[in-house]
Parts: sequence; C-alpha cells; structure tokens
Amino acid sequence: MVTLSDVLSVCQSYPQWLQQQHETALLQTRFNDGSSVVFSLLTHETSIAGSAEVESVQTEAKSI
Amino acid sequence: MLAKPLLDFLTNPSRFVEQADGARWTVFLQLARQHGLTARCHYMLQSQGLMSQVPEQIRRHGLSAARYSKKQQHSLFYELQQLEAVFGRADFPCVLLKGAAYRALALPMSYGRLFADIDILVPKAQLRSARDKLFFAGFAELPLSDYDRAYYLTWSHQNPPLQHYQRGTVIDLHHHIYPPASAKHIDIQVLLEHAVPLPGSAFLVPTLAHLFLHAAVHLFYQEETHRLLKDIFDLQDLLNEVQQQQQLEFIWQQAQQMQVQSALIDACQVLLALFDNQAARQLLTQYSVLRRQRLGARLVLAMLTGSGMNAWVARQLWFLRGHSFKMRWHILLYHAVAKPANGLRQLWRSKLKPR
Amino acid sequence: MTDFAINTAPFSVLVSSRSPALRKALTELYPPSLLSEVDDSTIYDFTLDVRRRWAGWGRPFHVSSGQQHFRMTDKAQLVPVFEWGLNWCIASYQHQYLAIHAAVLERDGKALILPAPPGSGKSTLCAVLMQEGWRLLSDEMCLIDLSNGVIWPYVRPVSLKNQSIALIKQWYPDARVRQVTVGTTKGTVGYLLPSELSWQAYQQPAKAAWVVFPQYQPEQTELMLTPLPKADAFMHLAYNSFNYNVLAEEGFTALSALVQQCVTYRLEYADINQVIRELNALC
Repeated sequence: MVTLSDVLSVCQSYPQWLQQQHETALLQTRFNDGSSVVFSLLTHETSIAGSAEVESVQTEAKSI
Repeated sequence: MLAKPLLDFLTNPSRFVEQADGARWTVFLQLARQHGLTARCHYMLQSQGLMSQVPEQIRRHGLSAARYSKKQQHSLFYELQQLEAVFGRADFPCVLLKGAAYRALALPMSYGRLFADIDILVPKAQLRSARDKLFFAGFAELPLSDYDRAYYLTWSHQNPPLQHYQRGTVIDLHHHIYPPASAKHIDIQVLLEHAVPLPGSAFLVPTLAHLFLHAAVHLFYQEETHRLLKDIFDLQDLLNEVQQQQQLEFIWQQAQQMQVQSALIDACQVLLALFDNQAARQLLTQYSVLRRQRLGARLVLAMLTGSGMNAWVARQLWFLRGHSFKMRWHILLYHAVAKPANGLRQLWRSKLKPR
Repeated sequence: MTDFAINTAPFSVLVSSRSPALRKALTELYPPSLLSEVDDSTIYDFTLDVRRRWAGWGRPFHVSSGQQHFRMTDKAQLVPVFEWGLNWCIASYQHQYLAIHAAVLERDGKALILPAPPGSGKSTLCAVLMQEGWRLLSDEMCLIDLSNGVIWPYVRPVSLKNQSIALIKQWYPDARVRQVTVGTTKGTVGYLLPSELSWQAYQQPAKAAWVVFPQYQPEQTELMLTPLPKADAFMHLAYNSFNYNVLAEEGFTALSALVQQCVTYRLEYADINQVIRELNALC
C-alpha cells in the first residue's frame, strides 16, 4: 500500500523541496563488523563511511 | 484504436474498476506501461478513493511505477538545484516549460508523470548567453551531423540538446515554443511577460493558461501521434487547473494575443467530446464555437476512438496537416531532399569510400 | 493465435504469438502445470509479443512488449531471446522488490546469495549447488522484499553458457540441459531444468544468511574464502542491483538490513569440488 508520506512527498513543489534541502540529511548504517555506509538524501549517493577514498555508486539504473 | 481500454480507464476510472476482468486489467497494465501512464493511473485511483476496489496485483504494479516516478521527481529537483547557480545571476528570464514546470508547481497531473529532459525557455536574444552559461556548467551539445545542427539553428525553436558530461541530464534550451520558420506565427512575448518566479529559485514558470496553450500548440500544430493519449490527458488536467485558478477568461484573451486560438478551440472540442470537460464547454459556448467541430479536433477523435480504417485515414491526414503547419512547403521540400542526400554523402564518406 | 501463459511466481507472463514453435520449445523448459492457455479471469503481470514480421530479407521473429521492441531473431534463437526479453521486461518495470543480479539458493530456510558479474562462474556454481541438493530460488535475479527483507524465489530454467554446459553434463550425467542454442550474442546457451524441489517450493520465500561473491580463478591452487567487510559487500551488492538507485532510501534501508543479517565473503576458486566442500562446511 502507498503510505501517506509517499503521496505527500510527490505532492511537494520545487520551492517546498528547496526549503527542506538546507539541512542535508544523511542516512547511516553501522554494521555489526564495525564498517559503515551512508546515503545522502540530497544527492542519492551511497558511500562507505569513514574511508578517506569515498567509493560511490553511480546514479544510473542498470538493465540486463 | 488499440489504446481503447486505457482511454476507458482515463475517462471513467470508477466504471473501469467496477467492470474490469483479468483480461482487461492485463491489457491495461500493458498499455499503461507503453504510454508511460502507470504511475499516473495509480495516483488517479488513489485520489479518487478507488484503491480498495483494485486487485492487489494492479496496486503492486502501480506502486512500483510510483516509486520510479518519485525517483524522477527527485532527479529533476536535484538537477534544477544544480542549475540555480548557473541561472542565478542571469539578467533575463529562464522559464521552465512542460513537465519540468508541472512538477515544479506540483500540479496534480504531475504525480507519476514521466519525463525525459528539462525544457527551458529564454528570450531569443539571450539564447547564446544561456548556452554559454550551461557550457561552463558542464553541458555540451550531443554529437550531431553538420546538417542536423544547421537545421536546429536555422529552422528550429531550440538549441540542439545539451547534455551534462557527468550527470547525463539533457536540457532542451528553447527560444520559442514553436519553429519560427513555420507557417504559424506565434507571439510568445506575453508568455514571457506573465511568467511567475518560483519562490527561492532563479527559475520562472508560465501561468497555467500559458502552460495549457503551449501544450495545445505542441499537440495540434504537429504531426506525431505516439504520445497522443498522454498529451490529451495532460490537456484535460491542465484545463481543470486553469478553471480552478479562474483563468478561463484570461486564456481566451491570451490565445488571441499569441494567435493560437485554433489550438485552444481544437483542444477544447476534444476535451468536451472525450471527457465532457465543463471548462471546455464553458469556453466553447461563451465564444460560440461549440457547434462546428474543427478538422484538428475531428482527426484526433477519429484517431483515438475511430474504427481501424477511420483511424488509419485520420492518421494520414494528421501527418499531412501537421507537416504543413510546421514548415512552409519550400522548407519542407528542402528538408526532404537535402536530408537523404546528406545521409548518402555521409554513408559514402564513412563506409563506402575506398581507403 | 496461439497465445499462452507462463504462470511463474512472482511474475506471470502472457505470450502473444502466432507461431506454435515457441510454446513447443518452452514445454521442454517449464513444468506442464505452469504452462497454460490464457485465462480471462487472470491478470498477467507482463505481456510479451512474439511475431513474425517482414524485415527486408526474411521474416524473423520480433520480440516486444507492446510497442517497445526488444530484439529481432531467427527461429533458431527464439528461446534464449524470449528468456532475455522476459528478463528485460522485469528489469525495466518492477520496483516492488529490490532486485540484485545474483543467484540465490536455499537450505534449511536460509538463503545463500551469489552476486556476480558475467564471467565469474556464477551460473555454473549455481547449477552445481542445485545439483548438490540446494533449492534454487533464481540463477539471475535476487528479489528482496522491501517490507520485511525476505527473498522471493523466481524459479526459471538456469541459463548456462559455453563450456559450462559440457562441464555440468560431465559432472552430473543426469542433469537435464535443454534447448541448447549455438551462435547467440552470448555464445552457446543451454537451459538446465530446476530440480523438483525448486519447482515445488516456487512460491516459498527464504531468509538471507550468506552473501558470497564468487570469482573463478583458473590459476588458483587453493580455494580462498575471505571475509569481506560488510560496507564493501553493501557497495558491491548495490552496484550489482538493477534498481537500487530507483528505490533510493527504501533501497538503502532494505539492503542495509539484509547485509546486517548476513555473513559476507569473497570466494576465489578453481576446483569446484573444493567449493562444494567449503560451502557445505560454511552453510
């Protein structure tokens, strides 16, 4: 089922979206082996946290 | 017409949901994907409170498409944000058109709408300046043959498509909404003058009336048919918005100023016939053009709802009609002859020439 | 018209075709219970059209979904092109699962995920494990449920390429490899039939427990099974996904949960018997 937040985030206008981007949010997962990954809600890029060289996942969807 | 089940859904979703069996839903899924309307249909079901009557399988595919369109919305907004710095100090208006404008305004019709590139309009005198700004921000023209490039610059209403070297985003930079070399002379000065700034952004958007007129021009003054259903449906939603924002009076007056009344009337006649659109009825009645259905409207209706033969004939006529609008005959002739000749020359150079 | 349906799960497909050749070939690959006439009361998730059309020199088959054309082929390659066409439909349109390019097998309710690019020996390894008694969920597509993280099977014939066809037949003389086609864009392709166990449980999900990135290294004498930092495993899985980027934070959250609950390894091997031994000990 579609949740209310799904619908609301689609109803958002560009000016509303811009206002929210002042605080760039990151999602972080800490794994139980000590390593960690982060996801940027702004750029939609994923990277390994803490490493000097940041590896990132491209933004294009792949196909077979 | 093949897309009939999808048209049935769009004109009356609740009746469709009530009556559809498995076979009809299967065809619906297939057509909705083909026309890029799956997510949009999903939001229609949602907003009309029909979701609980829809089979689970259809809901899953709708949600799946909604996820994709949500990602697209994010990509668009992120790209616009990157462009803020580029256009922030421009001393001329940069106006978002079509899908980008619908999305930026969060019009209900933009939920689930798919789009391929970002359309931006700038005044003709500043096209070069805008292109240079984009160039320094990493946008370059896609590779084109000399002929195609010359065609764009001489006859078309836009710069050749510009693509970002890293992000891959494509921008269509327009200086007009319609080829100036064509038989139609459309005045877009009023569109630029009335454009509204987006709060916090360097971009402007046309008024709803102008968005509608652009979409109508786009559909009725050309020859293509593959996005017909989606285009018509865009018009339906846009006109309802125009009415809600009380711009019906304004739209008629603007159509006159821009010299695009025929596109407005064609569009209204189609919307009245297909969706019984009340805003369309009001406009047509008020300006007494309710009776005589124009050729453009008749052809679109025949293509969408006519039987095989009628639809076929309508398509051929639509093609001729569209071409005759788009280019004056001598240009069309030049294009038709020069392009294949140029192609042969290219082929000779690249493949056949002995080395 | 000889339209028919393949009632696989979680996706069914309606095949619209005027030629009986394809259906006949597919009866060798799918169990009779899943191939059927089209039923008007059923919703089919995808529709593939397979039509012969005039194309200048001949009348090859066109495989398409509606007006979206996938590929043109002659009769000899109809089966692989159909199978790829179906994969293409699903990879293009489905975002209800996080889909990763990986083989998935199950034992005791726990799933082993083998993600890998082509050429890593993933399909061969997948075929071997299935012959050794693991239940096949998929040789190609790991479908992760976004709501609860379980892995859904998508049982289809296992696609084997080139030398691996002969190897599997040599190692397992009773392995049923069907519809071997030479000269495709991927070389020779053949389809190993899923085991009875795999077909019987074709709608039964499993819980992810191991992620192993296999790499066939012909020069290697000793097998190497190296623990992989979970963050690295996450990045490789994301990179091997069809729709991780489309799913954005939903994808990140689901993949995080999956990696958290799994143990993650890199596997470099040359000898398949060593692999079987090692994985039996590990899992």
